[in-house]
Amino acid sequence: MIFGWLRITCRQAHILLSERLDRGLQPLEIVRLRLHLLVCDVCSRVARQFRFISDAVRRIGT
Amino acid sequence: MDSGALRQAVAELRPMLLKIARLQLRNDSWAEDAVSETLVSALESADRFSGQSQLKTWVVGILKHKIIDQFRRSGREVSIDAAAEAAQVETFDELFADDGHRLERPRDWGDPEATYSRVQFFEVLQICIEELPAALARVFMMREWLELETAQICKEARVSSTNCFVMLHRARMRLRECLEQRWFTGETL
Repeated sequence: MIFGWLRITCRQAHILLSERLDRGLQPLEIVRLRLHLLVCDVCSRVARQFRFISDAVRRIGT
Repeated sequence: MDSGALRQAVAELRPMLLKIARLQLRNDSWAEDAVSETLVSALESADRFSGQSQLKTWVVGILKHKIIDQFRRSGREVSIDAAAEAAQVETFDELFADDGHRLERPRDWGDPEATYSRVQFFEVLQICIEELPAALARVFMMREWLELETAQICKEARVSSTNCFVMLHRARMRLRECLEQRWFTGETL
C-alpha cells in the first residue's frame, strides 16, 4: 500500500485520541489520526466518548 | 442576601464540597482541610460575592484554588503515589487483537446533553472516578476538573510528561469502560 506509512492501528489511535486532549499533536500525527477516523467508526466512537467524559467531569459541582 | 443567610447557605454547601475534594485529593484529611479553608475564605470575602453568579459556582471556584494549594503542601506524598502508578503498565490487551485493531465496537452513548441532565449519571461518574487508583484520579481530575495545563500537572505530580500522558490515557480508558458497564448498558451497539 502506497500510503502504508500513514496507517495506524486502533491501539495507536486510542492513544492519540487521548493525547490530543492534553497536548498539541504533531502535523503527521494529525494526518494519521484523521485518516484513521475516516475509515474506523470504532475509534470515532471512542473519540466522542473521550470528549463526553471531559465535558461531564467539567460539570461536576456546577 | 444578608450575612446570616449567606453564612447559612455557604455552610449548606459543605457536604457537596467535601465530596468533590475527596474525589480530587483522594485523602480525607487533605479534603477536610481544603474544604475548611474554602469555607473560611468564602465567608471572609462574602462582601465580594456579587450575587451575579450562583453562590455554588463561586464557592466551588474557591475550592479549586484551595485544592491546588493542598496539592502543593502534600507534594511529596502525591509524587510518591504518582511515581508508583507511572511504573504500572496497562496495555488493555482485552480490547485489541494482536495486530492492534479493536475487537469489539464500543456502544453509542447518544446525546451528551440528555445524559448530563440526569443527576444519577453524575453519581455513577463519581463512583467510576473513585474506582481509579488514587494517582490516576488525581492527575485526571487536575486535567479535566481543575483544567490545569498538562505541563503544570506533570510538575505538581513530579512525573515526566510521557508518564503524564500515559496516566491520563489509562484514566480515560478505565472511565470509558466503567461508564459503559454501569451506565450505558442499554445503549445500541
